Amino acid sequence: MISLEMVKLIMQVAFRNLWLYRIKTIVIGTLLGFGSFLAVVGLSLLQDVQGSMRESIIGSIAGHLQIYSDKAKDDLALFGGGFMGRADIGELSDIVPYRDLVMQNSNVSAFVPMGMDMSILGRGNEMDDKLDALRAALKSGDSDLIKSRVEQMRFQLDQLKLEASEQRKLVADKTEIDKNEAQIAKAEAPGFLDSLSIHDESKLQFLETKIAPLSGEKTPIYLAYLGTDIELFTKNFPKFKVVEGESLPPGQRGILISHKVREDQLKVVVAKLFDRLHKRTGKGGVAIKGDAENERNAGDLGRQFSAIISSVNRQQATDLSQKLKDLGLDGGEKSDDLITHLTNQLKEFLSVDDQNFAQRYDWFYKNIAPLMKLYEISPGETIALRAYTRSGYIKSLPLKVYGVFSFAGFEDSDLSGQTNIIDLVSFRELYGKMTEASQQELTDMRSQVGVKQVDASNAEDALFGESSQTELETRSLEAKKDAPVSQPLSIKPSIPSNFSLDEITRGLALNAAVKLKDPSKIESTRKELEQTLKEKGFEVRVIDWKQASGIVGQFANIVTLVLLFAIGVIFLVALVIINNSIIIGTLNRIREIGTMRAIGAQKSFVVGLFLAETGITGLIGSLAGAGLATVLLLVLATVGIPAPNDVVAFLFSGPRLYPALRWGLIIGAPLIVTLIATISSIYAARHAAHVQPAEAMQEKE
Amino acid sequence: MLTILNIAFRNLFQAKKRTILLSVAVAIVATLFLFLRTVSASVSERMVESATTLSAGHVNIGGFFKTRKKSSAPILADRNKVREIVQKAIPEYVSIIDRHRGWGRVISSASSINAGINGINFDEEQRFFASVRLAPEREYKKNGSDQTFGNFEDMRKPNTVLLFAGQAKKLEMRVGDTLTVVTETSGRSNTVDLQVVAIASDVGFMSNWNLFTQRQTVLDLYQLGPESTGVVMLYLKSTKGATEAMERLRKAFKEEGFSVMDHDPKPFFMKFDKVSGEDWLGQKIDLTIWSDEISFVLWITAALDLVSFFVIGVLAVIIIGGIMNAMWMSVRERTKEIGTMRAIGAKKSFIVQMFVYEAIMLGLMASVLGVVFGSLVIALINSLHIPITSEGIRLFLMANTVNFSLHWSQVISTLVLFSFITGLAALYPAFKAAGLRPVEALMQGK
Repeated sequence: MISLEMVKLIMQVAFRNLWLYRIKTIVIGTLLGFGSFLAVVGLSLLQDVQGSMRESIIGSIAGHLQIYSDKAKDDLALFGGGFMGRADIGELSDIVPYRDLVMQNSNVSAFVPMGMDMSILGRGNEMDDKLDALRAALKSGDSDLIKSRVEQMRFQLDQLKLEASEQRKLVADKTEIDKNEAQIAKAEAPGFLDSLSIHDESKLQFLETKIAPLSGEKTPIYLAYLGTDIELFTKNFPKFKVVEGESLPPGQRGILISHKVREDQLKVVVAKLFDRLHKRTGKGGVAIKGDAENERNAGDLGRQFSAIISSVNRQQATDLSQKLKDLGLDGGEKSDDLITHLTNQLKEFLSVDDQNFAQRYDWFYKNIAPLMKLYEISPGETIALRAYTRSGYIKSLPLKVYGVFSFAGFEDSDLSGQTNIIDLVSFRELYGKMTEASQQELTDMRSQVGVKQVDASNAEDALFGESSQTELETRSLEAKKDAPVSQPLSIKPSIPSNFSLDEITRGLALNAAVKLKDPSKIESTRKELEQTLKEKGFEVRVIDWKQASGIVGQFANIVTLVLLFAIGVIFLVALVIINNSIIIGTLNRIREIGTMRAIGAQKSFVVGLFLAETGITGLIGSLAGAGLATVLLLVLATVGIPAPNDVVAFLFSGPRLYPALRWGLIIGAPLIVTLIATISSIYAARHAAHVQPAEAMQEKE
Repeated sequence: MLTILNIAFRNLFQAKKRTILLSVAVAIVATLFLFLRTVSASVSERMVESATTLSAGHVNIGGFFKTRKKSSAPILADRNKVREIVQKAIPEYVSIIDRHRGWGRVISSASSINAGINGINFDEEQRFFASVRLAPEREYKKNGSDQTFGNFEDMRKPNTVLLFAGQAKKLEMRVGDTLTVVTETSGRSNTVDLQVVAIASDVGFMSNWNLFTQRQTVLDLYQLGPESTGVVMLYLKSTKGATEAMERLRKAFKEEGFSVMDHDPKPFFMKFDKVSGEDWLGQKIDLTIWSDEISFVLWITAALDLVSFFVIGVLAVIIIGGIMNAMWMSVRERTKEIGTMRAIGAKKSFIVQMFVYEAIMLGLMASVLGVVFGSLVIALINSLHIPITSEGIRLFLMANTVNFSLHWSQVISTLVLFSFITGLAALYPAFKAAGLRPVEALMQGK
């Protein structure tokens, strides 16, 4: 047995040796310190990222568990799967029995029904807005106003003529263009617009029905949405917050637009370019000059003046022109025409560089942005969503926009911000599930529609032109070019904007999020729920948040794996090298060991000595490494690690990651490193101890 | 020189144990390095392959046609003229084709997807049909056979479509079935029924988002005239000349009086918004190279490279530490020997070289070992044809089976790098050794 005396002696000799071979000691100590530094920082950050991702996913839309039908053809992927378009995840035809069973589990705190889908946003038609303005002017009787509106109308007609001549270069069927041009000519003919009055209903009707459709709808935008019970959702998803307007009032139909979607797809391009440059030059700290992306955006910005011009009236244009002049921008060559002059001034204003950008950005938001409709959709407005129901019908639904929301922490992340939120009843409608009331309407519609037949081009207008007021359903797949199609234009059923609250506590949902009281029991609760539901004959899949997050979750797994792999490999190689150094150090001291053995040192003494040396080096080195790591983490915890891009921002669950100090790791890692180093030096120590004294002393003589 | 190498070799041999231990460590890292390089390289290669098969030529002459101020369509109005200009400007071209670009909803009785609709001329697409293969039935049908169905030749017939296995699986389509394509253009929707005549194996992950049909089908769907097209794709001998060719084309198109958009390295479908906001009507040409059209996945290689760079960087530091330590031991051990050498007239530079060569030799031997081992492992993995089931990993690796491409350049760069690192690590101990005064060294050694 090793006595206390001996331990003391071993320690003394060990310290002496460490001092004697101090360079070796320092190198090995540093390597071990580096190892434990890496282990502490790496594992700590990894846990932080995993924790924040978990929080992001659970706290935004996934919940702890998700339940969906076992008849699903695709896996549930809340953040998108491999295909574009909608996934087929089956349906829960009535949530009541599922909820009752799930809520019986003692660990379940909430059951939130959901459904995700995608629709096309009807973006309206510019000409319609202009016609509305014209009608309003005619009604007011203000002759100056009428004059300016008529002028505007002429300008629009000129535009249409130009557009028609461009279309001629592309389309196969030129006769349609001829027809359109004839219509425009009719509206432009003398005596049509100049004598227009409020009583000329036929003329106005002509403009509305024949001319306005020619200006077409803007390129369609796809909007993804999540239908849910908003009250339950707000209560159970703490990351959800309304940033503008108000939340969906319970019992009201409506939509909440995602902040990210609105900024990315529904904001006027000129403002978007200002934002992008601002983000990259300001927060990103990248100068415009010399950076390809910034230069491109700055170049594009210079071409976006027309959006500003078309959104100001004459008075505003005069004011803006004066303000720009005060700013020192007089648009180069002088022009008498206000619009030409303002265009030149704006071109000058929009050509930005590193010197003037910050000032121009502020000026834009202070003086120009208030004149424009910055976003295509704002709270208070009503939009039309067009979706394909399961059976291939096109379904259109007007929805009031109540507010703009985002998920706290990852406002800018692409992956999280693509979904908008609507009420569950409207979701069912768009999904193709009829409420009793709409079923009745549909029957009425069909009976009327059956008799009328119109040609295909009108059918398109009928289908889409008036969709903001009509709820209609027609078999779109049969609406081929030459096939006769029904016209449901004459029916304008009014759907109620509210619904009774218990309508969302029963009925269809596609999937449901389950929140748990104790998240640490997630796997056992998952199994219990699966068991209970199966026993009662419900064929469902119960999956955890990680699986439900789809490709994002898989990516997170890959990232975790790659990082763990990297840390593991680094650690492994570090150990091999450390071990190497220890063994080499031992081999070098064979002579010394021989001497010790010759003067009576036991084998156990030699082994003990070597282990003590490594142990001491390891402990000091790795504690120092862990100490350094702690300092670094402390600094990072106050400053935060900035996310370089949106993907990382999602992983960080915010623009910055603030690492937490994990004392278990900070104390545990160096101890483990020391232990492994000490154990790995056993081979070297035993090797040394087995040296025969005489042999050892002869070596290298 | 030879003497030094001889001495270095002798020294390595004498310290057998140390040499072996160090070699193993360096070899492990070399293997790892080779592996990481291979993964990154094969991902890039798959990317080029996917992109140039599915959605891009080496250079793309696309463009936008605005028939309305507020809209934009990815259309070239006069395909013949554009092709003519390309042929003239890039006489060394390998092939030039043009495709229509559409986007729509693809509906079967079982399911639906959104996908890009490529309208092709069968006769020009030898390159495409050479790189896609008919999929065995099992790739798109549970318990399916190894037999392939369909025939690419049938793509000549009107209203036919080629699907990829992933799409066929999702839509539950087989060769001979009919699907419906719906497209939306500014408030109008048009529909066409297409017969599936061939189902091809997936090309990476991005084939999920593309299907191929006849040019005329797309023209009909969008009611376009026969002179129009979506994009003219130019293929060169390799991707290397793409940027230069693009610049030449830019000049050529400007000279011919076309307006050409500034180079924006993004795929065409990410530019609609910007172009819609601009104030012009008619045609503008947009030139891109292959990587621009898949820029949204390029971050994957960037991220892979970053991680490899970090890992290898840290490992290099560790190795340098280890080797320095070992060399240090060696110097201490051989102080007397060094003293003797210096005493009999060896120059300082000789001593430095001796140690550095010793380290380089060690590094070279070890990395050869590592490279051989690494190559064997990679060859083994490749021969197993392991299918990737996780969609995330599929997207990440851009492939459907685990397959890493190994090149001589990777092998050689690994060998050079590791010899360099070990040599570098030996410098400090070597200079220390050379700095010893002969007399002192001789005395210290005893």
